[in-house]
Amino acid sequence: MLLETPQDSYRLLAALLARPTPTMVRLMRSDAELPGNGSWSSEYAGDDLLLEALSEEHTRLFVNGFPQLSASPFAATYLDPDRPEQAISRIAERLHAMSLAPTGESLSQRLDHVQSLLAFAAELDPSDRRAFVEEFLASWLPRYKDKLEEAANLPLYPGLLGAAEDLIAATVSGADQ
Amino acid sequence: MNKGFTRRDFLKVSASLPLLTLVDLAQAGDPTLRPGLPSRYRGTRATATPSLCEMCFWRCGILGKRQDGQLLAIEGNPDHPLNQGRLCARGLAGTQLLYDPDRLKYPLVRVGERGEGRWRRVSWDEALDRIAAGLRDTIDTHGPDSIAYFPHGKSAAYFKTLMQQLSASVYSSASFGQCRGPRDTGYKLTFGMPPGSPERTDFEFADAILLVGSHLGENVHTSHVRDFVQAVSRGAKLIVVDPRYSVAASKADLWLPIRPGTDIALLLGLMHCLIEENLYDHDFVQKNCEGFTELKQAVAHADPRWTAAITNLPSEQIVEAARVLGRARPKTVIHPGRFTAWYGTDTQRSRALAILTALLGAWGRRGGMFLPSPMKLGGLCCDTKQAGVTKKASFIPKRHPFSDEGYPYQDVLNATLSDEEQRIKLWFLYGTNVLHSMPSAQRTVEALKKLDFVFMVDILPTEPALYADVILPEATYLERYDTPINVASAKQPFIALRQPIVKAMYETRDPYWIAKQLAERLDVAGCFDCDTIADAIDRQFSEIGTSIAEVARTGFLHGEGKPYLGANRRPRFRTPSGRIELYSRQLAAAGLDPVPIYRQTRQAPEGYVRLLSGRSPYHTFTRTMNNAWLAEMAPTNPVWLNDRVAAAVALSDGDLVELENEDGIRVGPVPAKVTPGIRPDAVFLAHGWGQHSSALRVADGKGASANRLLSRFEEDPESGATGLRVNFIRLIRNNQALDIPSAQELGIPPEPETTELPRIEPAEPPRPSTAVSDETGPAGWEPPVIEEPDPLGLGLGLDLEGSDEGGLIVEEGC
Repeated sequence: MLLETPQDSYRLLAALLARPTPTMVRLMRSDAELPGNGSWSSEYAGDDLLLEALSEEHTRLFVNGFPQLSASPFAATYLDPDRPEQAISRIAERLHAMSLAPTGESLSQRLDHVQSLLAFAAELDPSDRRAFVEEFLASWLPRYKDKLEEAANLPLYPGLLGAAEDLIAATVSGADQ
Repeated sequence: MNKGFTRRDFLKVSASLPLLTLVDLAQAGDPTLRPGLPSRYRGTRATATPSLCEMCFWRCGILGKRQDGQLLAIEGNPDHPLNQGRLCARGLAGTQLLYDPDRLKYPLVRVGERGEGRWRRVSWDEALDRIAAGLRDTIDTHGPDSIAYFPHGKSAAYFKTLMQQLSASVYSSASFGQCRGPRDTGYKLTFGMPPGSPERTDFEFADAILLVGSHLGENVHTSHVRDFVQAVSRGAKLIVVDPRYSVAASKADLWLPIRPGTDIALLLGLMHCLIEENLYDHDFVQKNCEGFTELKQAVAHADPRWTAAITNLPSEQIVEAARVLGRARPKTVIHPGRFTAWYGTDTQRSRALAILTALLGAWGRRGGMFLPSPMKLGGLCCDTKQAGVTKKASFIPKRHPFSDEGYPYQDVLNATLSDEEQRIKLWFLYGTNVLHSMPSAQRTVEALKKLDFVFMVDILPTEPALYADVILPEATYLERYDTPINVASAKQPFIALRQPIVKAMYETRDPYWIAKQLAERLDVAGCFDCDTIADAIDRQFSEIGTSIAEVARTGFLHGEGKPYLGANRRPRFRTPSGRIELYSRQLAAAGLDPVPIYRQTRQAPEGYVRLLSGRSPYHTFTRTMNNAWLAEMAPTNPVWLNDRVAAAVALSDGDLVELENEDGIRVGPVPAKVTPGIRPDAVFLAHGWGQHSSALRVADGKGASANRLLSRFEEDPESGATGLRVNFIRLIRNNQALDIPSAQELGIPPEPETTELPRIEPAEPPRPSTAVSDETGPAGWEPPVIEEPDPLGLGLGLDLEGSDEGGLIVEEGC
């Protein structure tokens, strides 16, 4: 099964944390047991309404938060809050050392955004992935997830972050191999 | 929130998801990584790109150090002609703007009520379509003059082109109406040209410097401050006129802590002394000036005794100041200032500074104000007139004949809040925080709620974003090109290029792209015929025989400077008389003072004290308040309070206090800075703090907003600018107003009433005009408008902020 590999799991998580699309709504309406999905989504009668609710929630949590973006999705906020460019540079340096360089859309994101880090993790060799995940995800994601749970209005994104936490733990312990 | 979901093992759960959907999701987007080469040595891959800072409007040269596509650091460019490697704290902190987590990242559409701050990320197409529809509907239903836009910065030129093509003529710039408008108007009325930006002060050779309320060192313009410090270190005499012991005052030979609002009286007094003691430049005045007789008549009453009584300064210091300036002539820098919207008599105060400069013969002379040296550069976009765009008069009457930069904010605000059917219906905010840069913030909120449509283009979600229907994210100065700056206001002029140091992050876009996209949707794209902003700039450079690629290597081009008048250079000024106008017939014809006259400003009501506001060296207005580094250096704005006043109300240094104005608007608390370095009849609060938007996590709730307290203003009749130092505050502690003693109680004599103003009549018929033929006199006179074809080929036709360099025609030979 495609998604039994950690690579595809990381890719999928990164995709699920991207801007909500009709595909995301279709997925939520399906039988799939998506973390964070549940009966609450059926309270939105139409797909458009659910998509709008997801869009607003995603915008508030991952793009521009108001009244609060208290759960910053950027690793530097937790790892090096005074010198974010240093944390970002370290990520770029690590990728470079693994013979990889950010390109395309990834250069248009902050490299330390949770979605970017999950996407990068997907592209790494298992040994590199373990070190990368340990340094740049495992070290802050649990704290972030706790904040996100407080900030979220819908259960979806805390659910996805919970799944990410499990996946990261599996990678760090070697259990995903 | 509903936490009724169950945590699951994601790896197992994944298997139950529909395969096609998951593949679809997992493969969405483009590849994130490509193979690269491992580095041998850290740092060797870093590259440096020359560009221009935009942490303020001084536009210093920078080098952006980049590695792996990431910005590591910003340094001053040692080769750059303006700052020569120096950079201020704000410039160094630019990385924090680029990586600010609160940046606007994607187009947003409002989903809740205005003010709620509920948004939805949308595609650029959806956002642009909505804006185009809003503009189209407004124009079709109410006409183009029901649109108002608020530009700021260099790239506003592209949006101005767009608005011109839509025949939307109503705009208002804070940089004019709340800042330099009176200064530029006063200097244009006197010399036919404004003093430039950077101001053309020849500190290098000055023997004396006069600063009137211009606090260099706090208003950090890097090269300007460097030149100023070098002049003072070299021994130039420094006179600082300021109610506050500013950084500049601390370096002064003579600090004149003037009674607020009486600066014109002091300047008249200085002119009186110069004339009486024969310390003015006879030859220069005779050759170049118009109206000396009337000026002499106008200052006849301003003897040291009169001046001292008005200004609350010792008469001997007034005389001393005049002698220092007169003896140093013409090597005297009379600084024109920058933020000059103070008391509603501000064009006249600027006129007085300009006239003082002329009396000292310090215009176009070494050590005074040097002349601009324009460089040719190709035009920006196309000529809207050639494109068939006609200017449409707005229903808002133009009340200020000498103002040539849009409409006063108060007129736009009134036309928005009007109950008439014909009113402003749509606002476009470009980089302008109208709630913190314009007066009457409460009325502004009412206007934002009343409008049919509001859209904004900005870098950060400032407070007005809460009221915007559509928000477009702009690339920062580190990620985009801008139209080149053409700096004639340097002794060696130069053209400099802003270019991207890193790829634009998120889905941010440059202003040319945004304007072009909107123009195409509105079928007015004729002036946006280049594919990209780089192509448009390349075309500008190609007209002077170079290219964007060539200029990008160093970031700038030098020109040849001709900063001084000489024996073979006869100036012809773009004034109606062709001469420097000490007496202005066009002002007289408009019913305004042809020579500056001192008029009293309103005094503090009992229990209140005058609010003065100004800059902090660590911040640029509200624009830098969310910058983490700068916020750490200057997290709040203490209120400066005279030590005797503080003792009278039992306040100690550092005590927290709120400020409340006459309209009951209260801000703070902020700590008191108790000091003898401010007069008892004034307090000082630096500008920019006090934002309340939790979308700006660093700035939110820090300090007190000076702007909120500026609910009243006095309109400057010549320029329409809003004089802002006419607001008075009281101090609140523990919800109780403190009993501030009056100035008289603290031993300051009251200002004598000036019941009779001198009446100045023209003493002689005007000399034959040598001015250009389209500027013939008051009836048909208009200031040089920047949209006009530019005979010098400066490419300034669409430049909102740098339009000043064509005002003087220097004729070679004799």
